Amino acid sequence: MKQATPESGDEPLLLLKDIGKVHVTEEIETHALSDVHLEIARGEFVSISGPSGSGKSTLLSIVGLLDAPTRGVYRLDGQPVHELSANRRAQLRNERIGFIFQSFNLIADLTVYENVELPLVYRGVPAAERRRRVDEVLARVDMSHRFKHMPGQLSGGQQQRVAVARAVAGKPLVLLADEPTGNLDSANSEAVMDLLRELHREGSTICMVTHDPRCTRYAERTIRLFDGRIVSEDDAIVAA
Amino acid sequence: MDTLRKDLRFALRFFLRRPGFSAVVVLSLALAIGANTAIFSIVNTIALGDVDVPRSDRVVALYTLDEKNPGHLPTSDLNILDIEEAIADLADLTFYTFYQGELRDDAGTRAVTGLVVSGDYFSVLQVDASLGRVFDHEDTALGAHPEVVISHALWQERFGGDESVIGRRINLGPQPVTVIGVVPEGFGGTTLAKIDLFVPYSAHRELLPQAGFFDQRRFLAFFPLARMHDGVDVAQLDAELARVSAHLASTYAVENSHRYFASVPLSHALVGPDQRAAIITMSAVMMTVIGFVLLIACANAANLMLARAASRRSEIAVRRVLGATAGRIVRQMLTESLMLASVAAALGLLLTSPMRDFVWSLRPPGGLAATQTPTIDGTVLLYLIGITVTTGLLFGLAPALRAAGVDLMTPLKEETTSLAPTSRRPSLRSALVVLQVALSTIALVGAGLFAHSMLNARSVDLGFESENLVIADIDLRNVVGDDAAVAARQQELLGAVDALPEVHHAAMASRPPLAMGGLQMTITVDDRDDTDAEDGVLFNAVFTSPGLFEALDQPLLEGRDFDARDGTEKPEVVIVNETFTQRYWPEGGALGKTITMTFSDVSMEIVGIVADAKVFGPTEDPVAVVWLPQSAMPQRRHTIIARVHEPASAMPAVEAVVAELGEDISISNVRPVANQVEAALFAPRTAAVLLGTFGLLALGLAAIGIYGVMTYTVRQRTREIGIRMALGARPRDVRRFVLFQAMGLVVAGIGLGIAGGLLLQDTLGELLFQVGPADPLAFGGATAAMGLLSLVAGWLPARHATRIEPTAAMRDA
Repeated sequence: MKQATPESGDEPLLLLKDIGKVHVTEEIETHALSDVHLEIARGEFVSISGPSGSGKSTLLSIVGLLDAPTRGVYRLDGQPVHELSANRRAQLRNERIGFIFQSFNLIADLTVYENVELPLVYRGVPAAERRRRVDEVLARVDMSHRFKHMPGQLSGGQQQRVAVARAVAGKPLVLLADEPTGNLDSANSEAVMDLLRELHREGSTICMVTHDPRCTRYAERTIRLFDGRIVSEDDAIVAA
Repeated sequence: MDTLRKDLRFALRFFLRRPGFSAVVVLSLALAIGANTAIFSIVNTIALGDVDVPRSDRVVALYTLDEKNPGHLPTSDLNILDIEEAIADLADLTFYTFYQGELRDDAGTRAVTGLVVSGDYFSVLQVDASLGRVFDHEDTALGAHPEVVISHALWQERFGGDESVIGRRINLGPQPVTVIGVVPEGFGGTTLAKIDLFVPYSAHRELLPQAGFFDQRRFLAFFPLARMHDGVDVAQLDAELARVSAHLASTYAVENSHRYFASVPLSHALVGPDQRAAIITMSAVMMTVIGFVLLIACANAANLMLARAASRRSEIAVRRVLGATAGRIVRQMLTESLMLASVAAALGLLLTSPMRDFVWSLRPPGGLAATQTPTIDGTVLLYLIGITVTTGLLFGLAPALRAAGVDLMTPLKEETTSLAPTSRRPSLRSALVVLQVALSTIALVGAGLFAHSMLNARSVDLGFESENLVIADIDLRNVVGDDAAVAARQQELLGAVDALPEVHHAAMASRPPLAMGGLQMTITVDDRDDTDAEDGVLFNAVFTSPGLFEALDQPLLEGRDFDARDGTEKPEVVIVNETFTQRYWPEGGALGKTITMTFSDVSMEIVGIVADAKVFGPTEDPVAVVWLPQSAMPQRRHTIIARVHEPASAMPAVEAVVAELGEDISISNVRPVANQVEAALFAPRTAAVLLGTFGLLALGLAAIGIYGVMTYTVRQRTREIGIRMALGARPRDVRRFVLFQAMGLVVAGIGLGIAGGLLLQDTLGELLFQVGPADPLAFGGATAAMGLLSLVAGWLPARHATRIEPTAAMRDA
């Protein structure tokens, strides 16, 4: 298990201790996560799996600073982030986390170029630097020739490649992928997973939620959730 | 800037790709913004307008206030000269009065309105000629050679802008005058009246018709203006005016007791201080109602933007996930709403001119000055910018805040078409519909109140028969000779008109029926000891030929009409109306009593009593009137009043027969009295038309709002409706279900609207005529109109709901 410990003096990139999340709606309490302890080291490729309602998305939202835990400690790159303000979380998300979604979530009224550029705009990166970075990542996902296209003009696989480009454009510390192949056919799924693997080999830290065993094979470690708790952690055989 | 540019570009692209949505928002906002700007440009001119003279804040208008008579009265020229001397250390004084006559030259005859002004009028106002010169102080001296300064408009229209007009001799009636100057474009005196020319005070005896009153201190005919010296404030001036008032009251007790002088800001004199309060109230009502229209349009836009924001949840959430702060999202959404508002404002600005022209065309006949025509000036543009930004923020803020609060987990969830409501609390969109209905109801109530007021005014008994009655202005100032010569020509004219087969009976009087203004006089009742208490009360005085009451069909209750004897043998007679006799002889017995008109000190016997009739307009309270024979004060301007068989054929016949009498008699403005009635109904009619238009606009926008929100609700509840239908709901049950929801909002809105309408009626107060509290016509009509249109607006989505396929609805959801 590729897992750094605090005792080693080399803190993991993501450290979640005793994380719990309770949703309260109209007098009903739902324990989405309970006593979750998770460490992900720099450069690791971890997949999270589990049945529907097991808490995968909730865990990903806490890891991605989209939501705050009800209790527990979350340290990102050594910095406590579980009690930050919404604006500070937005800033950290922008600077340190890249998201890849199942339904791509490209903005329909922005071109491919503008979609990829968006996180850099929010970060306040100067225009020339933005252009250089966007050109670079679009080339990386082989979508340079479609930079003027609107998302609606692209296939699902192409849209997901653009989404990957958008996720990596800001050089995040960690890539969070939520069912990245859920809306793709098998050929496109394989292409996207190959892309993620290449990114991982180049040093990216990836945390992926999936219930597709074909995707799980790409991860170095698989964490299984059930009823909001981690029930097992396995080192995986990385697909060749 | 880069970010703003990106936001603007995104907003532009977003709206261009949704032309239907954008068009509905922009057009409804443009209509509302255009109408608001149009009304404001008129209010800005009439109610808020200033006089276009240098440092106008240093100029005040002076009026005579009279404890016995209401309102702000003019001042006599003799009093003005004393005031001028008393306040010489504090202010420079000038004065003017109105003149109506004819300009005659080689090009023909044209009716003109002018001002008779003191020689220092232009120097006090600090207005110089754009061509030639203006009057100097010597022009005030009686006997100076009559000169005239013309307006820029008259110079252009009549003289083609020819600079050689300076020095040209023209005639004002029979009076030759020399043109010495042209005033700058845009200057038209200090009132809203359209002024063609200025003549010096030195010529007032020749030009003004009230020759019998000149040199009388009680002849209140002039309007003084004072420009305060630097360092002098209004309080100092008012204190000095109080001192001179007291001095003149003691020195000239008969004329000045109970009277004193007061100043008002020059801008208040534009419409007159007494009319200003009503105009301010009416302007406030108009601005409020048109503001409601804008609010309704904003609510519509907000509703559409909220619906759009709901369908953009995913996009907004992605932006938030990618690092946009809530503030950044609010900024982007407000950029979008402000962009829509700006486009609407640009379009609204194009609509402003025709809308303003329409509203301006409703002004009373006789016209307001061309120089006072509302324009889109800097103030109006500032107002436009102000309401555009406010509009953008109003309809953009709620959707923006809602968007900023989007659930960040949205991108992590599967897309779903289920838009089921998450709460039983009324949604913001429903609240906006209630607001729209409430505001529309208030606007409709306002329209109804004025419409009912107008109907009441139209059906009021005028006290005379206005059908088949024709009047015309007669000018005898060109008749050469003395009063006897004028009287002879007048008799000749009256005989000629009376002899026309189209005319049943004709008479002449010093004022037309149902017109503002006219001569007012004080009287003393001769055989009463207690008349001191009534001394100084002004009564309306009308000089008339015999036969006026027959022509008007105004009942003679007691005594007799004037007759031929009253011309020369026995001019010391008067006829009074019921209200006059009620004042002094409530038990009866007025006939045969004598009164003294204070201008002449001659006792005059009451020889007739006539029934009351309306004098100024249909909505006035009864007014006391004294009629005198024309011989009591020969005048050269009259109104001919003819009872005819049919106005359309009689009017050209009257005009033609007068024209045949010779050039020394001129006739103008031949019109049926029905026109006077319409003119007198100007205020309630204009209010009814404007508020009716605004009300319909509001009603239409509210209907769009109801339709929009109910369509959204049906979409939101497609699954629920599908389940209901699967469980056996019939189409009529579904229709009832949807309509029940729509009408719930409408009933709430109408309830609030009626409460607002009651407040509005309370505010309108005396502007309404014989309209009772919670007027059933206005409130019932507004409720019915709002309810019916709402039913239609709710019916369409309800009908659509019945066409939902239960299986498809549940599968899609």
